[in-house]
Amino acid sequence: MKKVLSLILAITLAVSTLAGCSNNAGTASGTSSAPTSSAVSGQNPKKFKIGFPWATSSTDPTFVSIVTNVKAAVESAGGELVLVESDLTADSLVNNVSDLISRGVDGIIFMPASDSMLPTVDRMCSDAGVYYSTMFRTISDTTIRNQIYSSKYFAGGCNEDDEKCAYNITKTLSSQGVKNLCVINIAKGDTSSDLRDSGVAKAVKETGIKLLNTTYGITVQTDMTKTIESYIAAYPEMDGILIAGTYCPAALPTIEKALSDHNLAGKIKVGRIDFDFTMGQYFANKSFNVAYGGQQQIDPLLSTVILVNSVIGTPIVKDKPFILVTNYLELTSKSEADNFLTYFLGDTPVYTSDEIKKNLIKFYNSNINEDTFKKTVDSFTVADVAARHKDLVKK
Amino acid sequence: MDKMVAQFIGKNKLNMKETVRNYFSFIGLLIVTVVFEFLTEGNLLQPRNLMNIFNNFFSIGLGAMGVVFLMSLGELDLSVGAIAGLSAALASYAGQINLALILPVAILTGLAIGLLNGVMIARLRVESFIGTLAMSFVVRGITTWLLNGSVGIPVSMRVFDQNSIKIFVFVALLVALFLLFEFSAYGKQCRSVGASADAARQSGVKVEKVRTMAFVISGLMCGLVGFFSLVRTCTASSKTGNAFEFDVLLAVLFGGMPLTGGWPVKFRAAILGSIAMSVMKNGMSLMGIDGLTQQIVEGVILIAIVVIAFDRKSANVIK
Repeated sequence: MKKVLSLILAITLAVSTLAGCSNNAGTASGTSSAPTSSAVSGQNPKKFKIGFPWATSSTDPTFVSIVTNVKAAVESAGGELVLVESDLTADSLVNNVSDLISRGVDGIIFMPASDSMLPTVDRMCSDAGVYYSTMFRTISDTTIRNQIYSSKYFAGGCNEDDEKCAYNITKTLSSQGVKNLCVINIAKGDTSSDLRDSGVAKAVKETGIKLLNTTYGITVQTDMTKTIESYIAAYPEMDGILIAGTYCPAALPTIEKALSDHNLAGKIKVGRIDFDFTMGQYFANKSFNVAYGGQQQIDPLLSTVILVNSVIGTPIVKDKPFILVTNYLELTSKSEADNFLTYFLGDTPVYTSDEIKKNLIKFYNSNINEDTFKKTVDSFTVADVAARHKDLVKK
Repeated sequence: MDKMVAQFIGKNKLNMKETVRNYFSFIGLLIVTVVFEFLTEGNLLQPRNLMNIFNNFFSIGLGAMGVVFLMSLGELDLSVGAIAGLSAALASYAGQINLALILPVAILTGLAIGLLNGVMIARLRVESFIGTLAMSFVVRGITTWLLNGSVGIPVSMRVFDQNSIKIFVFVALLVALFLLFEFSAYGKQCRSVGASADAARQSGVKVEKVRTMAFVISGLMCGLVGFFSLVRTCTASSKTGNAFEFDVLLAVLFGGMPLTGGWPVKFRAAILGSIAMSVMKNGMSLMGIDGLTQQIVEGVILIAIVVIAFDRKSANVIK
């Protein structure tokens, strides 16, 4: 019986393999075959595919909006987005990249889990002739940065000045009267997290705030509640909480609930980096005080646009990667938060495919250059998106 | 006469159930492969995709081969992911001293934690579920504290990530562990202890030693998983090996491995289950199914497996 089953299994696998051989004519090869000419009016670039490893299982509106924005960037030049599930760890991302290369993508956009994983990705992409681009993260390690920046297949990407942002938000909290601060951050070793720690440390030193504790790696609401309750119990002098970063869904409501359970909502100042879809109501009842963010939509969108330009043969900058620093936006009122919710976290990207095609794809407009992107970043605000999309977005 | 016919039908029903249970891993793999080959329009078994399946399967397969001995004893190891993580972490530090130390340090770390697990469960009589869960917390904590983020190794170490090396290592370990489990005295002792520890002890089997050895084997395999994860990503981080224990557990269950241990445990369950799970995950990814739906599908399939293949009569005690 075992032998018979083994035989059937072997035959089925063999037949299935052969069956698959004839069914892949339309698939793009692993090597990028982008046009080399610059802007060609009236024509479209060759069909291309961009791979994107992302936590597709997350229903967090921010995570969902990131996919919406990446998709708009890919489709602006007629490309197809290949989305694969990832837990965003280095192991998972390397496997995702390998998987996407074998599926014939022409470019890959991802958020690196660490600097040290980048040489591996670079080797894989260079061997396959696939362009790649990074979002949200800078490269802190000088050796790795030099290696990656000299790679032919690294198109570039966006990042934010995380250190400056953390410095600014801590100073804002200080100006609001905070003297004893507890911090929640993503994870040690995560590039953004480390830079934000550094920014907080700098501001703490300057302002004389006492940094009571920093907790890392909170990914679920129960842990967030426990952490806040531990802070309340251990540090009665605590008068400020800064969420410098977290992957915990609904972090802000969880913190607010823990504080209100102890009659401390509104008494302890709360600030967070990375906007939250629940900010408005807490701004309204004054239990939430300041937020820095807004980059979560523009950064992946522009990082993908940079990649798309390289893949279709019209890179923004020739012979070197194009690195763009996007700005953090500051929100301190309910109306700003409501606009953010409507125009950043809905079904419409912060720039539509048509807007991207017209203003950011060099294939269609040869005048586009580094300055175009810098101006785009500088003019990007919640009010700007609201003004451009007031007819598109249903309130 | 009616009684005889009824008995015959009853016996046939029993045989059918028994057959399904016995060959569940083969049938499961066959169904998964054919279904996903069809749904992915022939892309699943394309040569370049087969290597992706192999890369996904490699780590899970190594981990699953390691836990076969434990599961035949009716024990669980929930620390396999944490052990792989610490092995990778220590190996990456060792690599900063000398690259030649990476492999031995990864293996020795796995062996050492496996031995600790074995002593805790076999000698101190801690339930494996609780003991290995506690060990996973300890080991994860040490890893996070040690790494303080992530540590890289030179990208030249990716030379060990070549498919030829991985296939050779996998086949060599597969043959060695298969022979050890199916034909050696130790493999039989594992299953006899799993069936009845008291009976095995009275037959002269050194139960504590057998249990300890099984945890050491599992630790060794985790050390190897840590090494191959490290040379693949050239990075060790506090998240290395994250949730790996669930992948391994799901894979062996997918292969029809009984949680109760004993004689029904088959080595092939680990291999076929790991392949089937890798095929399923890859197939869903090829189809563009989002992560949330993938989790739902995996959960439903796991329930189906337990309903079809799990021998509830002998599942009185899960240790």
